[in-house]
Amino acid sequence: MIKVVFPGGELSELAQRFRMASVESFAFAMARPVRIGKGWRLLVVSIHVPSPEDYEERTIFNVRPTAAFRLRVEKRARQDGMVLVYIHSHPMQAGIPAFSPTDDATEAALAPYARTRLGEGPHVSLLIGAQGVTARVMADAAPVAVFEVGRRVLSYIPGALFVVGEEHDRQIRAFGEAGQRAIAALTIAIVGLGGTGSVIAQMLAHMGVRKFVLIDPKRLTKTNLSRVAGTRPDDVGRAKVEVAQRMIKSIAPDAEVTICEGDVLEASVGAMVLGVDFVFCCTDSHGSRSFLNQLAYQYYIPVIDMGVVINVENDRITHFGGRVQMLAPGLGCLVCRDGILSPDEVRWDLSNAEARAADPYFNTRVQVEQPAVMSLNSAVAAQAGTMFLAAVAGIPGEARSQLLRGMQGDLRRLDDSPRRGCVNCSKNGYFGQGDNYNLPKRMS
Amino acid sequence: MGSPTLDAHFKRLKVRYPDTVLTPLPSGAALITLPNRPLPGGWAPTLATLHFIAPVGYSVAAPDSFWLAPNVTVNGAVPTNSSASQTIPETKISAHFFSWHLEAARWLANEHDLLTFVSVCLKRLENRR
Repeated sequence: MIKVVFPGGELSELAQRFRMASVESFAFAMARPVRIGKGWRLLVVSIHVPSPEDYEERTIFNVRPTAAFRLRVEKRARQDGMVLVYIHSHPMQAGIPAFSPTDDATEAALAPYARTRLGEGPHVSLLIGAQGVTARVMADAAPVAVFEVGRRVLSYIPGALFVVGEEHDRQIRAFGEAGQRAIAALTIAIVGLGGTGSVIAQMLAHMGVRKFVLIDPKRLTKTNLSRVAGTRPDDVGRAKVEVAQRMIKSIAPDAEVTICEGDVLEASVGAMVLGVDFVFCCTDSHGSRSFLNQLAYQYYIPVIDMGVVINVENDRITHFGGRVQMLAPGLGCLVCRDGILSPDEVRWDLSNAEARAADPYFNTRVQVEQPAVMSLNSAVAAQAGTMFLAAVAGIPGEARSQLLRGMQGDLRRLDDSPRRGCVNCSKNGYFGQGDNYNLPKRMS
Repeated sequence: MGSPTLDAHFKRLKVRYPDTVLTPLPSGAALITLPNRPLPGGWAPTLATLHFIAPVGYSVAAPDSFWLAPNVTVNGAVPTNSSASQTIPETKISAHFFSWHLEAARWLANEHDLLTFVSVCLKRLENRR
């Protein structure tokens, strides 16, 4: 599958602008191509809209930019190793727009030219209609999915007309059939299938998610039974991902569940996340969270990160609560606010055996099992699930960073704006860099 | 293929210390080397090469500890919290290891850089014990 991904709200803004015009409009999106398995992820890094004088023809039936405008953008794309998305509009066409015979003829002539001039990368044609968006490889029937990943996650996935069943009637009454289909069309990774991850898996299966990738290196211990959803006493010793897979299949027998009993910091395991559409970060490892925090911006893959804390001193709880934060282009990351990720824990988690052996502090630190309670894990997971629905299914929730304070019994919305020039999520950092940089990984 | 932050911070470090060298390590970490740094009075020898590691995940992951080469003494004794002739991980360099750490949570990924950590190392050497 080829996926074109626009960061923030760039596609919505362009579509709104095109839909206000009574005639067809044109733009180029320049995208960094990333090979993922047999598919591509095309990360849009800039949009180029012609000025009125850059149009050679612009009517209700046709649009053509000038050769000078086209050549200028195509030259830059070639120099920068980018692919181009040729975008135009049919502003009057309702529903899912369809390419016209004129489009077919234009692309048939343009496709060989684009391949010769720009290279063999998948150059894409994207059509914006009055409500919807559709895309295809230039002069080719190969399907192309289009995503916008930011505060909201919009998806236009070819063939994604999932049957909406009666079992989801009550939630469709809340956010509509389109929202239900959007949920069902996404492939979702859950990293960490412990206290929060298992509850997320259960919740998503009930809500209608049908494609899962589950990642966790650990096996179930007896102490997990009190808080890992879907477990039975005889599961002790089984892989957590297997237990979660069984639970999901018991709720949704038609769900596709891929499991990996491994650590996301291992290169081969981390690579699995590149193929998904949304990630829930349910691990308490700072290294794993740092990995996903980078991935969200480097590859425009939205992540919801969550954490739970119960602090006990002298046998008394001093505070308890949790936090939930969505990580996506246009939103702040875990590094924008100081104190969320521990710089020492990240280093330790990413260190290989040789570096750990040489570090006297690593060798003397004591790993203490933290207190954990299922009700609190579930409260935090519930906020994460609702944030997911707000981002994907269109329920009108704006919070993308929240703090649950258990002692006070309140839930606060936090500032979710990005820090200017952030080393992780800004254009000075990993924003849209794709394969230009490695994701952090731990060598064995 | 390092990181945009490491690239930018290393450029900044080169402006202040032009002979600085960055050596990529197999793990993805980087060895930072500042040759022939003059040591404060009381240290012997008077010049030493400073090494430290920008870890995988830098600058979200903080640097920690450093090495001097060759082995050093201060006021004729082995410095505290140090050990001579240690091999720097992922290299064949033998150097004098200084177990020297930032206080917990003092490193701020968006504010500190390699220059910050060099100044932390040099501060340690001002302490003549």
